[in-house]
This record gives sequence, structure tokens and C-alpha cells, in this order.
Amino acid sequence: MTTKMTPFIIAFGCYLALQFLQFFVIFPLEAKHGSNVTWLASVFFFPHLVRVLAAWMLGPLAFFALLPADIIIHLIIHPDRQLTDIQMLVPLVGSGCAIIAFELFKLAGMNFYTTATNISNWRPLLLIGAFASVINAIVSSLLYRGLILPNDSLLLLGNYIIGDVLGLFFGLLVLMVLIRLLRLNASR
Amino acid sequence: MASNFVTMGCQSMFKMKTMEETQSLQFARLLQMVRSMEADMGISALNKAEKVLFTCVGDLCLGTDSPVNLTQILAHQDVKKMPQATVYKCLRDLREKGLLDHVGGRGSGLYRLG
Repeated sequence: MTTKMTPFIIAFGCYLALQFLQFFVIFPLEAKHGSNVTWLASVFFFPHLVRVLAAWMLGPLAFFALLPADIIIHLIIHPDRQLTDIQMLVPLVGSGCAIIAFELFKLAGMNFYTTATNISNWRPLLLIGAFASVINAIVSSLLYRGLILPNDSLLLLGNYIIGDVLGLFFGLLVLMVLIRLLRLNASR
Repeated sequence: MASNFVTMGCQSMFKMKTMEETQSLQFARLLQMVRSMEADMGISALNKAEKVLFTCVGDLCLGTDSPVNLTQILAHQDVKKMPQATVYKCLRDLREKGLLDHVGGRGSGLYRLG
């Protein structure tokens, strides 16, 4: 049972840790020099990396590892939000966007889950991540429609997509560097 | 009854093993994906034979800009024990990674640092 849960616990832990890093370190830094919608979207949104990797490795069940972390961080940064607010659906979109993207690709005949193919390449992951980001951006913009100025909607949409894709790309780079360092240390 | 317990035990052990194998496989996939990124960025690590060959060419080229002959490479102390097929494969891979350049026409057997 524990063995079965380990990947989900790791995904949950990484996602929550990166969400904290995002909202309490990167967002304040960006807010100093950034745009007026920084409270909603970042130029480097690193948790998107975990969304994509978790969906890639765990399949649709990854949703249950990501959703609790998304709800926790959402309630921490918006303590005044009511359960009936439509924005309470934002965590559902955030946790599910990568899975929806993988499933849509699967429906189109391109199954990129680790269980379906023997080849693992980072480029399809980036493509799916970008697609997931578009889904996330469109739905989240709709959910935040009443809270931001109409002129800012497009900016928010752009910020979401750029943030997610750059976060995913640089997150993969960081992961690559970390694994290289681990490998170098192991070979010494 | 006892055989049922043994069967159930074996089944659960098999499931556990399969789960561990799946996790190892997932980790291997993650490493494979990272390696694909390294390869695309041109920073994939050299294997042991490639490192030996590269340092050998560097050793022979030291201080000169002139190319190194394949005969010199094969005669080098560090490369002598290496099977020739491995040497050719490594030379090709090092060329593909841009670390070595082939000088002259096909079959010239001349290389220099890339």
C-alpha cells in the first residue's frame, strides 16, 4: 500500500513545495518589477512542471495527488474565498489541465503516457505542457472574469501561457542539472 | 487452505514486485527524458571510452594545430587495449558531438579537436 502511494506522495509534496516557492518567493519578487496581474500569473510558473511530469508518469490518477496541494495553496492565498465562489474551481483546472491535455493527445492517437511508449523525450512533454497551459489559461481567465479588468484578460491569458511554458522548460533544465550533479557525485 | 494462503502470499509478493518494477521503470523513463534533453542541448555526458579517446587526441594534438593520424591514435598507450570497432564508433560519436573534426577527404584518417 505504502509502495503504491509513494509516487503520489512525492508528486503531492513536490507540487505543494513548488507552489509555496511560487507564491511566497517568486510572486513577491515579480510583483516588485512585474505587471499588475502578477497576483494571478507568473512569468516562470514552476509548479506546471510537476503537473506535466505527474500526469506523464502517473496517468489520470495524478489528479488526486495534485488537487489537495492546489486546494491547500488556494485556501492559504485566498482565505476569504467562499466555497460557493466560482473561483473555487481554479484548483480543479490547475490540477486537471495536464491530464486533459494528455487525454486529448491520446484521443488523437498520440499516447505519450510512460506506460504507453518505450521512448521518453522531453519535446512531446513541452508540447503537451504548452497545450495544457492553453487549457488552463482559457478556463482560468473565464473563472477570473469578474475580478479583473477586461483589458487585463488578454494579458492574463498571455501571462498564464508564457509562465507555464517557461516554468516547464526552465524546470526541466533545473531537473537536468540536478540529475547531472547527482550522477557526477555518484561516479566519483 | 494452506495452499490458498501460499498462493495469496505469492500473488501479493508478485504485485509488490511489479509495483517496484513499475516505479523503477518510471524513474528510468525520467532519466531517459533528461538524457534526451542533454542530447538536444549538446551537453550529453561522454562515456568512458569516448573520454579516453578524446583525451588521447588532446594529448597527441597538444601544442600543435596539426591533425592527428588514426595510426597515432591506435598506437596511443591508452587506446591500444581498446577494440578497434569501439575506437571507430567513439571517433564517429565524438565527431557527431562536435568535439572532434575530421580533416581531409573520406578515409584520410586525420582528426583534430573540434
